[in-house]
Amino acid sequence: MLDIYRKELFTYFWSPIAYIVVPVFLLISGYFFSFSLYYLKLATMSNAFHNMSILLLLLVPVMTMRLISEEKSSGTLELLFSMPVSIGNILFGKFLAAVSLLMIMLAGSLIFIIPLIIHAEPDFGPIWAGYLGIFLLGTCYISIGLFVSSLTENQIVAALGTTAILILFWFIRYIGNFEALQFINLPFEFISTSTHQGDFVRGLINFSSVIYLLSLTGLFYGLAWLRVHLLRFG
Amino acid sequence: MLDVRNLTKKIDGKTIVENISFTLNEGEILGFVGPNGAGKTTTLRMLACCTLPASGNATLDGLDLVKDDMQIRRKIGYLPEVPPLYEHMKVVTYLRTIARFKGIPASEQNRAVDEVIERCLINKMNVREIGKLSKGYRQRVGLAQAILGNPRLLLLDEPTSGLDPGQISEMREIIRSAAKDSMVIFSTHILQEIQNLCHRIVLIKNGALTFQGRLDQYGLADDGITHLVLRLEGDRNVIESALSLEGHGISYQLGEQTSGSTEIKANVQFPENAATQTAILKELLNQNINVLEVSPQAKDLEHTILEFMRSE
Repeated sequence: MLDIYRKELFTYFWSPIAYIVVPVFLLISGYFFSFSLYYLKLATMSNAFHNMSILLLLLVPVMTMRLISEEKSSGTLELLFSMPVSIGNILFGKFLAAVSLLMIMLAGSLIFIIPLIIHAEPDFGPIWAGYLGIFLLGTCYISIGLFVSSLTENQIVAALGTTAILILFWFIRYIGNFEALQFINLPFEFISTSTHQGDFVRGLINFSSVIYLLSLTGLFYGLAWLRVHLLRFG
Repeated sequence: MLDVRNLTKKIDGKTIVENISFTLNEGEILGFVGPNGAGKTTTLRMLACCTLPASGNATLDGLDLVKDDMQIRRKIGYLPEVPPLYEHMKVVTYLRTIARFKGIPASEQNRAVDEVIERCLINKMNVREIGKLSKGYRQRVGLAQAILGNPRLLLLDEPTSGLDPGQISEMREIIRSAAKDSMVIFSTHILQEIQNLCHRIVLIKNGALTFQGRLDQYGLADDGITHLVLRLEGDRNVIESALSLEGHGISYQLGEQTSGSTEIKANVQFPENAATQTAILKELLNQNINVLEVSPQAKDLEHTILEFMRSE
């Protein structure tokens, strides 16, 4: 597993992906954070966390698009099958590498806390809750991206497909805004990732939200495992 | 020893490989021959643990292909038709990555990688990025990853396709040297490869095994024609008139005469009739043509296999 992890991390930093995704994430979330702090005079991270969630909708697909699709198109997935590496190890190594890149992005954003400390006395509880939320959301996005990447040999299709699913999960709670659909509002609100993220942004660690995001991560990770396993029958 | 028993593969209900059985012994090179779509690649993929058989099984040194697949994978080296390479890596980085994937102990990895770099003649390229290598070098790097760690069984899918004659000859040498440590199965379209490298062949057509055996066992049904090669000395026109002797139904092709020499090579196909051969040879002698040599023309493997491929 560590060998796959090592290779994936190497690929992120060899290719332009890491050098694009990390700065783009920090620059854009930094811009919105500064705007909120200096213009709106809001000395909190809430807006920053909300903006990060939206940014990840667009950046995680770029991080995950090649994870399996590239191995499929170049024939190296077959090579991995012929070597003593289990499918579980292949997937977990890849998943962990993407999570590591996410952690690097989030670690970079810790710098936002410095101006908060300078200009105000921040309450660290909601900040750590927000970070937990964004981390759980990011890993959930990554497992969705991992699954979609296993469905195709085309990286662009993988990226667009992942974006589509992530956006669907983010906005699906608004479906209840249509009057005719209000009777099914509750389940849509529950499965929407934005509902659960809202709690973390407000500084709440809601147990059901943690369980939900972990379950969604597990579900798509499991689907990716099943999909790659089925490839050996083809 | 590899023992393949009734290996069958179906994809979407369609039988791709049906009941293929063969064995492979120590130090043997086995050639997989058959037309495109015959099931050669699928059979190799099954043996490489890339795809699971629908039924049947194989054992390698007593290990079961399906049940003990993790142990089997430690004993095989596989080169698919398109070499599976990480384009962005340098050759040496790629081979070290593969060495780790193969579970070669850390203390031996560098030595094993250096050894295959040496054997596959890629020393000059080892710090080049794989994406920038020529086809021949890509193929060699692919072969290098397959032989890394001296696997017990080496599976090579058309390892020489698309290479120039010089590269083919080098590749052949590498495969031959790899066979000292491993049993080798390879499929190829280049039939001279089979004659040059293989101890035995397996012919596959429409997913089924139609022949297996040593090369020298292989013969076609008698077509009733004797092929002889004659080395003759004399006037070309006289030779032609002697060979065209009426009533014997022979056909022949005369080779080009080299300048300054009166020697001519003739490929002659006689009906299976000793009297005809005698009559023609007598006629040549009567016409004062020197018969320097009469030898049977061996039906070459290529001809044999082409006939097999064309036949229903």
